[in-house]
Order: sequence, then structure tokens, then C-alpha cells
Amino acid sequence: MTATRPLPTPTRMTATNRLSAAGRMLLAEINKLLTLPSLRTTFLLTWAVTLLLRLVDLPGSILVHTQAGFLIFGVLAASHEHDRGSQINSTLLAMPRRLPLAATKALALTLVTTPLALLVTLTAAEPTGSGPGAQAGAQAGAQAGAQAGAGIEAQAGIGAGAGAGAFHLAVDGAAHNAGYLILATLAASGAGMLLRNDVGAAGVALTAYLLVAPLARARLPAIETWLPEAPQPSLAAAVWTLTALSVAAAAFHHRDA
Amino acid sequence: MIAIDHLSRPGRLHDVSFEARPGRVTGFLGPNGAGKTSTLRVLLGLDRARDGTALVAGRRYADWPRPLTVVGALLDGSGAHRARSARAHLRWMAASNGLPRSRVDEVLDLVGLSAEAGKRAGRFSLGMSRRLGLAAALLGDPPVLILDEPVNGLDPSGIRWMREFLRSSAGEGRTVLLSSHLMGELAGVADDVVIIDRGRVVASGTVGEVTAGHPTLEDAFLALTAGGTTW
Amino acid sequence: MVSLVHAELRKLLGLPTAWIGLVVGLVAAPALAVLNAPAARRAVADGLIRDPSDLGFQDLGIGLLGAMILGVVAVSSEFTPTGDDTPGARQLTATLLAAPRRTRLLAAKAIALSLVVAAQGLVTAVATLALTERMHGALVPPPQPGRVLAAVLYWTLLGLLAWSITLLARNGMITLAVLIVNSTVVSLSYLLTKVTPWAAYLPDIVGAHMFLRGMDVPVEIPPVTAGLVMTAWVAALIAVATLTFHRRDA
Repeated sequence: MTATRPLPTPTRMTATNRLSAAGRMLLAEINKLLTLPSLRTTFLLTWAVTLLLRLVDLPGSILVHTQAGFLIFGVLAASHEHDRGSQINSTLLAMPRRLPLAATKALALTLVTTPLALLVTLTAAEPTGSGPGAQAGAQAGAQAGAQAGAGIEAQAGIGAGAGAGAFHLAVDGAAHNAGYLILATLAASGAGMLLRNDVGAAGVALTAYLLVAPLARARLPAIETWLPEAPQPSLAAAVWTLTALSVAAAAFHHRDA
Repeated sequence: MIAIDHLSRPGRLHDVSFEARPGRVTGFLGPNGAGKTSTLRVLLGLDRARDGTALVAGRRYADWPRPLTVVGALLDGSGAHRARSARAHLRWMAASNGLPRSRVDEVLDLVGLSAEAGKRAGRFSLGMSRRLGLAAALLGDPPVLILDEPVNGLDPSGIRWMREFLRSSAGEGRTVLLSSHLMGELAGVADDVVIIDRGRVVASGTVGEVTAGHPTLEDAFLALTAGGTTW
Repeated sequence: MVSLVHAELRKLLGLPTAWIGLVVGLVAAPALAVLNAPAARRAVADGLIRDPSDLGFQDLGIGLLGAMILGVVAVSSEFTPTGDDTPGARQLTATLLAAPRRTRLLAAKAIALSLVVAAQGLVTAVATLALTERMHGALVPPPQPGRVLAAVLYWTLLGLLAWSITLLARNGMITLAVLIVNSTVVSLSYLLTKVTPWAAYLPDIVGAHMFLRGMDVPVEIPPVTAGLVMTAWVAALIAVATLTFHRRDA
């Protein structure tokens, strides 16, 4: 028999080499998302439209409309694996354990989406109104006002407190709404992973979030609490996301690549 | 090094068993649609078999913690998303298995794609796509190479390069398994041959053993797969 | 030309996604009419509906999703790559080899799409209105044939709008996003009319004046004007899309 190469071969030690398996997967998946031009374009368009609608002072919530950009973002993040070129083969050759891979994909998408969602919600500058986050924000603002008011110049203190309160409210509302956008993005990625086709998955995700959910909320009050409502994060929105991701991960695990 | 045991997949594979050994080039031959790609995809954990096992160095592919350092695989297409540059594609693959970035430039150089590394994979010609696929397979400097129709889409100089590459890889002690439906290509490069037809292994052994009684490997192949799938 | 239209019809109806569009368009509006019935009855009784004759017509809106999907897939299927091993191969390459005169080809495509979408619109409108009449009886005045035809025209023009935007953008995702955002309960176009009255002349919202009477917009637009404005929009978009289709490489 000929000389056998020792197994496993590489002897190089590198920074990434010392990462755990989970860390390596996460790094690779984030890398993939950051080098995909269509995701960059989708985000920039979404941000630009949000800014435009803010500038024309659109009545009502802007995010209700621009969540469409995040839904497409989520779909593309997942479905691009199945575009021509069969990148999915490379992905599974490099990271063959499918359930950990699906979980890592969701985590990577969350990490990449979070700053983008915050940027868009801050641009839209919508307070959540009745949301618990907004209430907490208002309370914090009032407290800050009261504390400042105890100072030498009570009048100015109250003014500053109100300003701080408004600022708190805006940031808090943005963070709150960003939570919704992240959940929607993740659910759309579930649709993309399940359907493996970008236009088809986008059609399903957009129809579900922009047409079916609001229509059903208006017409069927009995199931209202089980439907997500943009741009408020809710238990329902989280349940939709978890369901979409679980179904997609199960299909991803079971079927042939 | 590669051990396929009683692999079955409804309608595709029927009790397929064979081995590929280190330091040798094993040719996996069969008409189009005979089950070559299907077998390789099961071996690589991409598709599932109903019965049987397919092991690389004693483990299922998916059980290797850093599979790219054990097996290099070339399937159809480049395996890269068309909008990503060749370098970006190889970089995420390297990161996924903890391989250094410098290795990306090494393999690009090895397959002669250094000048085009910044180009989007979708703009590559067929031959360049195959080279990119091969670069990905070589990232982890793996002791096992699994190649599905490696000469498809290569020009004559590319085919010669591939043949020499396969021989030298085996010479370094690597296990090389490649599928093909082109006899001429295989006869010159393979040490061992496995012939599959309609999902069943119909012959296996060294080139000499399988050819015995026929003028050439091609004649043996045609005789063994007579009446098989049209191609 | 007839054979070209015939070929394009076969191609369109051979797409699985086109059938999704067809079925969605046919089923959604009648389903909504049924779902909406109790709320609509209350709204009419409370005098919340400006013009009860709008009732069945309003429910048609959701079925337009089907027309849009048809418009999008009729184009996007041509630009979808056909396989792994053939870089740059698209169905369009084969299409252009079979029919190299691009303007005629586009005309055939537009006619084929219009035929399918108009038939879908007609069936959906008749079914939805019949259902509305069955459920509400005398509460809703019987629909005038002119308004039904106007609704079908709107339906067809919207399909062509989706088609021309996709042809321009060479990407079905953008069209889908824009049009679905505008099909929502409170559409973006409608909200923009609150910002500027000119938004009432955006193609999707102006066309609705053809068959809806009680629309809550700042400007009153007569049905014929509405039809002309929407047709002009679609014609302009198709003209630009045709020009760019000529200039670009396949």
C-alpha cells in the first residue's frame, strides 16, 4: 500500500482555528451576508424610502410600509443559497450539521439586521405610543425631569427633563420597533429557506405581513391576539417567527440539498 | 479511506458497495443517470440514503468537525453565488473551517485564478467556474478528493492539467475518487475502476482486472452496460 | 402575430407560479366578500359606507394581487437563469432566437398577458358581485354593466403595470414589494394623497375612480378621466420599458 497521508492534515494554527465550531460557523454566515450585493441594495432602498416618507410627513406609521424592505431582506438572506450556482452545496460541504447551521443562520441574520433595523426606526422616528416600552420611556423622562427640577433652576430643569423624556421616548420607540422588524426579517428568512425561491417566498411573506395579517385583524377580532401588528413587537410576532424558523429548519434538516 | 456499503435509495441506487483507497485514483464510471452523482451526494451528506453507509476515513462526512480539511469535493457548477466575488466566496468557506485567509490566495494561485479573484462568480466562463470549484475543494489541503465529472467544461489544456493534478495528488498519498462518463479520460488516469449501471455496481477492480477479456476499457464498459441508459 | 401570441400564452400558462397568480386572483376577492359581509352589513346600516353600490367592488381590490403576480412572472421567468452549467443562460436567449423582432415580441407578450388577466378579472368580478348581491340583497343596488367592465379594465391595466415595471427593473422583487405595499388596507398611495393632492393621480389609485364612487380622496375625478390617466401611465411605462428592452443586451 502506498504512503497514507495522516488525518486530519493541516498543521497551521490561526486565530479562526482556535474558535469553537459554533464561532466558525457564525463568522462564515455573517461573512456571507455582508458580501452579498443584493442585501446591500435592499437595505439602502429601504432606508431611502423611509427617509423620503419621513420628509413628506406621511400620516400614520411609515414602518408599516417599509417593513416590506426587511421582509425582502430576510427572504434574500435565506433564498440566495439556492440561486444559480448552487451555493447551498458549498455551504453544506463546509458546514454539514444542518440544525446547528440553521440556528447559526438565524443568529447571524439577527446580528446583521439589528443595527440596520435601528437605523431605519430612528429615521422613521415613531414613538410606540401605547407600547410598554414607550410607557417606560415616558416614565424615565418624567423621573429625569423631576430630578432635574429639584436643582437650582426648577423651570429650566423641567424643560430639560421634558427634552430628555422626548429623546428617551424616541430612542425607546426605535428600539422597540426595531424588535418588530428583526422578528419580521427572521420570519421571512424562514419562508426563503422553506420555499428556496426568492420571488415566491417574497410573495408569501409580503402577502402574509402586509395583506393577510392586517385584514384578518380588522375582520376577525377573535384571532386578533395571534396576529402580528406592525410595528409593535408582540408575543404573536415572536410566535410567527419561531414557527416559520422551526418549520424551515425541520424541512432543511430532512430533505435533500 | 472511502467505504460505501450497501447503499440504497429508492429508484436510484440498489445495494451499492465499493471502496476507494489512498494513493490511488479510483474511477467511478457509468452512463448518464446511472447513479454516480447520487452516490457521491450521499457520500458527502447532501442527499440521504434509505439504507447503507458511506464513510470517509471511518466516519460519516457530517461527523467530521472540520470537513474541508478531510475531504475536498468538486460538484457541478462553481458552488459560488453568482453575485459574490471568487475571493469572497473562498473567504467565507475558509472561515467556516477555521482556515487562514492566506490559504485563499494560495488556492487561487494554484488553479490560476489570482487575476480574476475580484470578479463576480456569475461572470466566469464554464472553465473558470470549474477552477473556482476546485480551488474550494483544495482549501483545506484534504487527504481525500471527491470529484464529480471533473473534466466537464474544461478545454484541452485544462483537461491535461486536471489529469496531471489527479496523478500527482494520488502520488502524494491522497485518496482520489472521480466520476466520469468519458472512458478515454479515465483509462489514462485511473488505477481502480468501479462501473455502475442503473443504480447497481456491475464491475469493480483494477483497470487491468475490469478490462480483462476486452480490447480496451471502453469496450469493457460498453459490454458491461449494454442496453443501458442512452447517452 | 397570432402564432406569436399563442406561443406566449402557452409559455405563460406553463408556469406554476402563473397558476398561483391565477388561483389567488380568482379566490381571494369572493372569499373576502364573504368574510366581509357581517361588517359590511353593519357599516351600511350605520351609514358609514358613502355609496353602498361600492360594496362588492371594494372587495375586488385584494384579487388584484393575482393580476400582479401574473404580470411579474410573465417577465421574471424570462430572466431567471435556466441551469448551473450554462453561465448567462436564460429563457430569454431562446425566446429571442425564436422571435428576434423585439417590439413584436413584447406586443405579443402584452396581448397574451392582457387576455389572461382580463378573463381572470371578468370571472372574479362577476363572482364577487353575484356573491355580494346574494348576501346583501336589496341593501346593495345591482351593479351596472359599465362599472363591471371598468373594473375589468382596471384589473387588466394593473397587470400590465406590474409587467412593465418588472420589465424595466428586470427584477420581480421590486415590483412585488411596490405593488403589495400599495394593495394594503390603507395603501401608501392613499396616504400620499393626504400629503399632496397630486398623489391622487398615481396610477393605481386614479384607476379605481373608474368603478368606485365613494372614494375618500381630496380631488373628484370622473371615471373616464380616471381611465385615461391610468391608461396613459401604463402606456408611458410600457413605452419606456420597450425602449430599454431594445437597447440592452439580452
